[in-house]
Amino acid sequence: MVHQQYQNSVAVLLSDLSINKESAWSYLYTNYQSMIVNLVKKNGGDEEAGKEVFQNVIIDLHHNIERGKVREDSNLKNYLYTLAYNQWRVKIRNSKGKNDTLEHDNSLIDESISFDEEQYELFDDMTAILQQLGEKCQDLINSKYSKIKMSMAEIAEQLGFMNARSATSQLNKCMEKARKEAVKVLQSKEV
Amino acid sequence: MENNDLTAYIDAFFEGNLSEEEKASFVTKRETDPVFDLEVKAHQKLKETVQKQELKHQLMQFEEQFIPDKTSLIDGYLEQSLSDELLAYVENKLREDEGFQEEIEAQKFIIASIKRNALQKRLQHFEEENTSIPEEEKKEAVKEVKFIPFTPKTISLAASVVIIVFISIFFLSNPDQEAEVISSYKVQVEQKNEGLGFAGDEQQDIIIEVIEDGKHSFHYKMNKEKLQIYVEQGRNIGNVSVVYDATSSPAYMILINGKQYYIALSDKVIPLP
Repeated sequence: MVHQQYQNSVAVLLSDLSINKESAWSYLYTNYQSMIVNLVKKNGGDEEAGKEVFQNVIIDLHHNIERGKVREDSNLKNYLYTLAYNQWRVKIRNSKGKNDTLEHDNSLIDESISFDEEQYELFDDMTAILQQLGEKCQDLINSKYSKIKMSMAEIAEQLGFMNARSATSQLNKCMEKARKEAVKVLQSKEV
Repeated sequence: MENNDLTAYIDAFFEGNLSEEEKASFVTKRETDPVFDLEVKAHQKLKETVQKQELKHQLMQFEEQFIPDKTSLIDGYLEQSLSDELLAYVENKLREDEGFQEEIEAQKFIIASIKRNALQKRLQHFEEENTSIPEEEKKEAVKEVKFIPFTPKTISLAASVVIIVFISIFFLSNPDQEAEVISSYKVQVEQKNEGLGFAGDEQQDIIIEVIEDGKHSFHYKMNKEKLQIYVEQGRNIGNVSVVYDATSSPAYMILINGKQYYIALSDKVIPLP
C-alpha cells in the first residue's frame, strides 16, 4: 500500500511536510486534490482554479504547521476541506461582491479550524505589490528572502552586481518601494 | 546601522545580527513609533509572501512532474500502466469527480474509433492489393503484345466466321424463312349471324397457307387476308374452312380435319387452341 507511513501517523506527515518532503506532497495530491478541485468546480470554478486552491491550501497547512497550529490528532481530510472551503468562499465573495453559500459537504467542515481571512487576502495583495516591481527588483528580493539562505555577496555575484554593498543598496531601494505600497494596504486593513 | 537603510536594519534584527543593545532599541522603537512598526510589519509580510510564492512554485513544479497531463493519465489508466500512486490518484478522482468518468469514457471511445479506422484502412489496402493487377504485371502484359500483320489465310478464316455468325443470326431471327409452304389456297369465309348488321365485318375470301415448320406444330398466324397454319414436318392437313361470327369472341372458327378451333386475328405465330 502506498504512503503507509502517513496513513498510520499524521505526525510523520506533518513532520515531512514541514521540510517539504515530496513523498508527503504526493500523499496529499493523491488523496485530497480531487476532493478540493471538485468543491471548486461545483461552485463556479474550473479545474485550474481548483488546482490553485489546492496549492494555496498546502501553503496554508505548511504555514500552520510552522506555527504549531496543526494538532497531530487532526482529521487531515476535514482540515484541508475546511481551508479550501474558506479560501474559495472569500475568492467568490471578492469577485462577485456578495457572500454566497457554497454547495459543499457539511460533514467535512471543521468549525474549530481557524481561518485568518485577512491574512489570506493579504497574501494576494502582497503578491500583487511584488509583481508590480521590475524584474531586477523581483530577482533581488526573491534571492534575499528565499528559504535558501544566501549572503549578499553570493546574491551580488549571482545577479551581476559589482559587490555586496551595491546589491544591498539596490535591495533597499526595491524594498522601500514595495514597503510603501504594503504599508498602504496594511493601513487600509487596520492591521 | 544607518537609519536610511531600513531594510538592512530590519533584516539584521530578524536574522539575529544586532547586538543586544541594538535589539532592545529596535523593540523600543516598534513600541513607541507606530510608523516604524507598520514598516516592520509590511517588511515581514512581503518577506512571508516571497517564501509562500517560493513554496507555491515548488508545488507547481512537483505537480507538473508528479501528475501527467490528463490525456496521458487516462491513457495510462486504460493501459493499466500507472504507478501505484497515480492509480490511487485516479481512483480518488473517479470517486470525487463525476465528469472524470465521462472523460475516460470519451477517450476510450476516441481510441476505439481511431483503432477501428486504422483497421478499416488496412483492410481496404489489403483488398486493393489482392483484387487489382499489380503494376508490374500490367507492364509485363503490355510488353507481350506484338503486332501481327494479317495474312490471306487469317483474313479468309475471319470472313468465314463472320458469314456463319451472320447467317445463324439471320435465320434464328426469321424462323419463317426456315419453314416451307406445302399448300396454299383461297377459301370463302362463311358468315354467321349476318342479319345482326355488324357493318364492315363482312369478309369474303381468305388465303390459307399450310407451312411445314420444324419448330412449330399446330400453330397459326392470321390477318384478314391470310391464315397461315404451321404443321410439323411430314404432316399435312386437309382443306381448311373458316367461319366468321361477329357476335363471338374469338370471332373466327376454323375447321381442320373435322375439328373446330376458335381463333382471333394474330400477327404472331401462336398455338391453335
